[in-house]
Amino acid sequence: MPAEMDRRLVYLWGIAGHPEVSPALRALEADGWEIVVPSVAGFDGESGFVAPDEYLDWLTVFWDALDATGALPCPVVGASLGGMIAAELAALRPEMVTSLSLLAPFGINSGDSPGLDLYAVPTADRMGHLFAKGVPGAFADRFGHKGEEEAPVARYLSDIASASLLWPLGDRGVAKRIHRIRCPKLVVWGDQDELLVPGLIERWGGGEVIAGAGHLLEWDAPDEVAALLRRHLGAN
Amino acid sequence: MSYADRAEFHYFHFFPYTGLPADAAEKESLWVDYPNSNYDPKAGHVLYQRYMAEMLLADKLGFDGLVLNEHHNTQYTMNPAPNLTAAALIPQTTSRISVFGTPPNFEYPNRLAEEYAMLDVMSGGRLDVAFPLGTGMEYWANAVNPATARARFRESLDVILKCWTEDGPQSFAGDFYTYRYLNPWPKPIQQPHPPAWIVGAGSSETMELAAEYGFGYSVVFIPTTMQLKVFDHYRERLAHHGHEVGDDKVTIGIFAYVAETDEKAEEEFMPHVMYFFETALRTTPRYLNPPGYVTVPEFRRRITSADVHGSADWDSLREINRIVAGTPEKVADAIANWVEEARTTRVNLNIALGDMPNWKVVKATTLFAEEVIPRLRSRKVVPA
Repeated sequence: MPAEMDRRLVYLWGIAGHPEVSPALRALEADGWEIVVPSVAGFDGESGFVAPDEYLDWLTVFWDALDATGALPCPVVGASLGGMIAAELAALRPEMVTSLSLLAPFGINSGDSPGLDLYAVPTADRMGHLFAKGVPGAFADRFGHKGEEEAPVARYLSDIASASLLWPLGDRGVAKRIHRIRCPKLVVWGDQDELLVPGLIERWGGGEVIAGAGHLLEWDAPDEVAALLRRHLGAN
Repeated sequence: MSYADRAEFHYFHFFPYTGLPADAAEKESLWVDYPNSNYDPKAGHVLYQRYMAEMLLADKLGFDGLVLNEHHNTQYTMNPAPNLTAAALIPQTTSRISVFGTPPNFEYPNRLAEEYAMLDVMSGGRLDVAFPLGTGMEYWANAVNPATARARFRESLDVILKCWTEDGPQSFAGDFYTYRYLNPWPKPIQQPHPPAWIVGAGSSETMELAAEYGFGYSVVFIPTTMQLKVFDHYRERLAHHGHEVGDDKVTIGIFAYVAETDEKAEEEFMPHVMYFFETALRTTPRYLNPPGYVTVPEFRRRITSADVHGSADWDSLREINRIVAGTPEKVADAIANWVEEARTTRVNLNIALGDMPNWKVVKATTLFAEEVIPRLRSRKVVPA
């Protein structure tokens, strides 16, 4: 592996998309890490997106996008929805993931404590439920640049993309495949996560819980998340 | 001949669950997540018996058909499985039976084709069916991702038509359903299949689907003026696809109540109409439009359109819906105008509405059958 690829990682974004690199990952960039974010249609709110019919079709879309980056095999960090995809990648294509970091991943939810149904929350209020410490500017007006008429449409398309993967509980049977993950794994949760109750971390084999952080904890607790990622990436 | 004197009246009953606790008035939505602990099965039993009796009365009075619908997780209707109700009605009736209808997305399509074929055979060919996509609310209640709704719907229709119109066994390979042996018994008695409609809420995609398949088209929950425009477009598209534009292809819904005077009719009807729109239909926009349920063009239309679920006043309701309460003459006049402007002979008639007591249902149903329908059918001159 070339030396420059020793400090490259793939990042898979969460339920609200990827408006910009999170503060936690910017800290890793400052350490010299290259953050590779695959391009997947739908989450950007651009028109023309048609959600794949089946989960396998969705995984194929992600696999194609990941392969197109040329970054794999490497460490993979997945948050929220992206955590589910990252876990699937590590389980189904284990040779492609050298270490796995999951930040409040979807993928396992028994339904006993389903958490907040984000799609049943009025659109204008949704972002507030993803963060415990206020909505970051990047998410506050996620599609505002598209203008008053097009912003709701972009939000709708982005919702279709995430909902077609997560509807209705965000459980895609990852629990049945988790035993196939053989790379080092870090799981981190925020204790203020409204979407996925922190107790779910035990279903992933345990991990670190950060006090005061919500679902998108890399934004709520950038220093703590960056420290955990540094330690995990450095050790592996 | 006018449309009015050939009009068929299909008696539509929602089978509502009534007697909700007082705090229902404060709930944002009485669909999807309104707790079913508020449902009393014993009260439900009494209501089923009453509603079945009301349907049998309509049949006895000579209505052309009886209409059932399907919804889930709601007090709006106690018919989440209307084929069961239809099966119970069939041996006791002689009119047509309309199941308007089970959303194909919530059944395996071969099974739905089988159930409808059963009803058609059991009834001796009296079945009419409608295929709704299902309201947005149904997708919160069923294990189907709304993002797949429209593609799945079309494929389901293909399976159902194949079941009904082609001899089996045959195979079918789709994106959602795959069959090695598609060979359902029984097949429908009506050929090539029972008369079928598609129920929509005005989206161009649903209208186009009805036209493409040559199905009838029924539209709900959009203002009357908009319905008329959609009907015109539907007829154009129906002809474009090479189908005959029959007078019963379009179905209109009418809310009607008949009494001795206009004032008495309005006084007796209005509270139940208001209950229907304010309470029974009450839900929130976010349940109406789950992600992916509507296409982007339809989403654009909906975010700028009036919402008819859960808020209204009497006058505005009458402006955008076909609602009439009055003497037989007044009701007949209004209906004559509506069927003429819609150019249809098929009416789904709603008398039993909301929390209306049995005595009013019996009274208005009887007056409608005995005083309104004969007036319409004896008309030779169509009102302008």
